[in-house]
Order: sequence, then structure tokens, then C-alpha cells
Amino acid sequence: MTPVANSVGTPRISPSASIKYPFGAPSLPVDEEKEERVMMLRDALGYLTK
Amino acid sequence: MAKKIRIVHYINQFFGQYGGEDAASMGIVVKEEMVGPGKGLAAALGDRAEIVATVICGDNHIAERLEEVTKEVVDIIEKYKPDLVFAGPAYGAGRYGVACGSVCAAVQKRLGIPAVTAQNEENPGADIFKKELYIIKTGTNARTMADDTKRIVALGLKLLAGEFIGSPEDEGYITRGLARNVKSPKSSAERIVDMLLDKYHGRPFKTEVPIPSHEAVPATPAIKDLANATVVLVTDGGLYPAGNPDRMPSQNADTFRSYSIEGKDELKKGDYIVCHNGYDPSFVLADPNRLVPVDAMRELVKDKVVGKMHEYYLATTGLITTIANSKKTAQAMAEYIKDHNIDAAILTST
Repeated sequence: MTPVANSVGTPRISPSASIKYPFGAPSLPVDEEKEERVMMLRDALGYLTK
Repeated sequence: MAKKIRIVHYINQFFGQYGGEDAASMGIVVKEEMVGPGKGLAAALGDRAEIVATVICGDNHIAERLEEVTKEVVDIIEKYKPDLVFAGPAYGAGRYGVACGSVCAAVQKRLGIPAVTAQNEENPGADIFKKELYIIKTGTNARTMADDTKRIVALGLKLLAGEFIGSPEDEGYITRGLARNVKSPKSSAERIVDMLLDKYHGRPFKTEVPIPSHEAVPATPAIKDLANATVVLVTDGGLYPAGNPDRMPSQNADTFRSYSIEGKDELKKGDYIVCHNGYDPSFVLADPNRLVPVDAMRELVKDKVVGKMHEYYLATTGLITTIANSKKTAQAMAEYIKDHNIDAAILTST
């Protein structure tokens, strides 16, 4: 949904791998997926400070 | 007999008759015949032209890697040596609209031939690509397909013949924001007084300088101290507690609800449902944290990266939502956020 968010002027956009799981990585084992999610969320929170 | 005009038509999995959201991840399929809405195009084209191929692609497949898949689609289109390319109509469908716009824009740029699509004015695809393309204006659903396909064909043939393209009103396309010099019999002073008098008397009048459709929203200031900030998780992906207690709609919501996550380390599978007809919910149903990352927020609070997570998440359904309804929901959310001393929001969108 990145181009959509961009077209309406959203100032802070964190891209995701899929429309179906913005904070997911279903190809990974459960533990690693959670680690990945923590990293993605840390990045997204980082945008809030910029 | 004159040589027939060669046409390639781009459509999604739904109009390609492969299925709805369940088939939205399918890759590219090519059929060397007309499919679905192509039949209406062919009828309007008559003997002049032939649909030599229909390229069908899943909306998620292209939306998730827009540039890459657009290139693959245009590579295929090029092989059929078309004179003209049509895409859609996409109506109110956002991912499909973006895909149609992206394919048409790339066809014009790379192959140097005209391409026409059709969609609703509020479709994000229209907004992104209207400057580059002629996009026939449609409603939000396929009820008007017969008329829409006729108008696509009429405009496409005009472009191909290099004929003069009239105003958006005359030709039925979405205003591109292009300026063209025209000779007016009246001076600008006369025209503006006429307009003012029409406005004063409540008569219809038409501005010569339309205001762009999206207002600019200034960015909120950056958070200075994330480690002491309270953050709320928000989604427009339609995640509601099992049973959907507030009967939230599956599309075009004009409100939101808040749901407690107090004492929850994560959102458990089975406790939540997805009420949103616009994406395949199986991944989110299997692990709702993929949409509302409560488990990851708990970790980041523990690690003191962020101060606090607001103990409720906010949910709405963002699908075929009008700008008016989006605004209404957003304003209500902003009120909620102010009232609860929340510093920032992470909003996930599907």
C-alpha cells in the first residue's frame, strides 16, 4: 500500500513485504518471525523521531 | 480490407475469472483471446480491431512489487506488437486501479503507444496516474461496464488516430491537470464577474482553476523522546474481536472501535476475526500480531525503546472507503488520541 499512502501525502511510511501481513514474515519459523517483527516495528518507531 | 488494429488488454484475477481475494496472489497468465470485460471492448471495437492477448495478473502479486511486475507485464505486452493497450476498468478497487495505471503509464513510456484505463475518481490509481494518462471516469462498481467499455474504446481510437482530445467533461476522462490555451470570446474580467453573479444567484458555474483533490496534510512534529512516549497501535485492516461485537462493516467504515489489550503479551490466534473484504486474511488469522504487532511492542517497551503501549488498539475497515468517511474516522481517532494523552500512532494498512 506504499504508493497509495504516498499519493495521499502520508509523511512517514514504513514499507512492508505484503498487504496480507504488514508486520509478518510467514516464511520464517515462529521465533525468527517475531524477531523480524520487533526489528520492523523498531524501524517504524524510528520514523516517528524524524 | 485495412489491417486490423492490434489490442492487448490487462485485467486482474477477478475479471479474469480466477476468483476474488483467494486468487489475488496469482502470477501473470496470458490468454490469446478476449476475456471478461474484453468482450465488451471487442463489441465496441467491431471489425476495426482485434484483442490479440489478455494479460491477467493477481492484484496482490503486482501491488506488492509494482515496478518489477509492471515491467514483466509490459515485456509480455510488447511481444504482441499492439497498436493500443486497454486496462480495466478498475472501478473503486485500489490495488487493481494502481496496477492498471502503472501498466498503462509504462506502456506509453516504453512502447510509445496509447494506453487507456478506466476507474473511479477516488481510486488511488487515478490519483497517482491521472497526470500521465487518460483515465475514463467510472462509478465504484461494474454496473456501468457496458457504457464504460464503449467510452474506453472511443477515447483509445481517438488517441491512436491522433485526433484532438476534448475537455474532460466532453470525453469523460478524469481531469489530468493539463492546461491548454483556448480563445475565449470574453475577457477574464467579464468571465470572473459572470462567475461571481452565478454564484451569488445560486446558478451553476465552473471554476477555471480547480483546486487539487487532496489537501496537503502537514507532518506532525517528530517525537523527541521515544523512550518516554506512549504509542497506540491502529489498523485499517478490519481486525476485530471474535464475533465482531460492534458489528463493524466489511467495507467503507465511517468510524473505529478500541479494544483492550491489557495484560496480553500477544494477540492470540482464534481471539480475533478479520472483517475486511479486500485482502486474503489467512496470514493475519493465523497470527494477528502480523497486523497489530502487540507482541513486538511488548518487547520494545521491555527494552525501553519506547515508553508505553496504549492498552487498547484502534481498528477500522479501510476498503473502498470514500475520502469523506476516511476523514470522519481519522478525526474521531485524532480526538481519541488527544483525550488519552497518546504521543504517536503506528497504523498498519492492508
